[in-house]
Amino acid sequence: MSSSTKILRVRYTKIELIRLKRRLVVARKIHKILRERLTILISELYSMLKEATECRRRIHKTLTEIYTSLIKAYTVMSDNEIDILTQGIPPYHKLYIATKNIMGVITPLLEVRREKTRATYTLAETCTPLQDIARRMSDLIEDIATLAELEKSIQLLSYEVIRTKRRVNALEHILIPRIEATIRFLTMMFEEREREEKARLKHVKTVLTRRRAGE
Amino acid sequence: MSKDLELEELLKAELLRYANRHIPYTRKSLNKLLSEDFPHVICRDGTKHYFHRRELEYLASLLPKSLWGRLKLPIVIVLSPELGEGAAVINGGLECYIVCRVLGIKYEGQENMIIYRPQVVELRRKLRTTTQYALSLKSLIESNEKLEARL
Repeated sequence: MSSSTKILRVRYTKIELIRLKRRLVVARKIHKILRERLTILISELYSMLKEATECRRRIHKTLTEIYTSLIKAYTVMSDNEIDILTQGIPPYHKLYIATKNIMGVITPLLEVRREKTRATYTLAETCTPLQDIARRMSDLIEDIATLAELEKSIQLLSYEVIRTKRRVNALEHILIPRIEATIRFLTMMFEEREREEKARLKHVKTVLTRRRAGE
Repeated sequence: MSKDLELEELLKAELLRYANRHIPYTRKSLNKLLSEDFPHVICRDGTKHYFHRRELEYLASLLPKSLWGRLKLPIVIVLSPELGEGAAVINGGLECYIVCRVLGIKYEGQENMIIYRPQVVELRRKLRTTTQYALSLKSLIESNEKLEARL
């Protein structure tokens, strides 16, 4: 007998059989809920994975463009000039970290908000590639925050998927089959007992009839 | 009602509570959320669920200002296993209107609507923080008579 079809240690009584049947109904319901939860979590996970891949691709593309512009900027301006310009830039963005709840899983929420600050340089002091970099950097920061949020959420969701899957499997392959096997065993035992009882009664009846006939 | 059945009922209520513990106690209107610095709701498990301002602004762009106070957030996507795997129900006229606008479906004035898995995924992708899943456990809540009949 495999371990999954082992029967539970219960008293061989009819009341226990009724209890087991009720337990089976509850176990099936819990299994259904957990399976539904698992489906949701997996669909969320896949959707996030897809989004994270797109986001990462977008970041790579933006970075490539930024570096190309930077090389162009270096051809127009000197290292010193670029350094002086970039050091004076005040922080344009503020990052807010909060939480969001996805099916009971607490995941981070990163939000970048643009601050209204004025540039410390004039258009005459910079060149077109440098202005292009500044514009792209702003989008890049938002994308990086989104990617960070998605990747952490993916990690947390996958842990939850593993945990839920383990519970679903435990119910599906161990608990429910064991309860079913115990119910089957008890039902067969009671049926057997009933048959024995009938046979005994028949035998007693025959004996009594024979005795009466002898008298 | 026997003691066992009473326990069974309690367990069902507990299951419902456990399965939907991420649902907020009270939903807030779009108007109120837009006026908050950090728009959030408190969930039943005590955690805070924050909304992306970007999403709130997107929703605000879909509705006339006069209706901002009537839209309660988060929009609850009720997953109903009895309708089929992945099928979900959206309740409320305004919520249905928003969902139709987001998914590009024609809105016909319905008070509730059924959406299917690809639509649910699409909706969640666009409104990740302003929507929440909930499990409908209609199939779970069977009447005692039914339960007794099954046994």
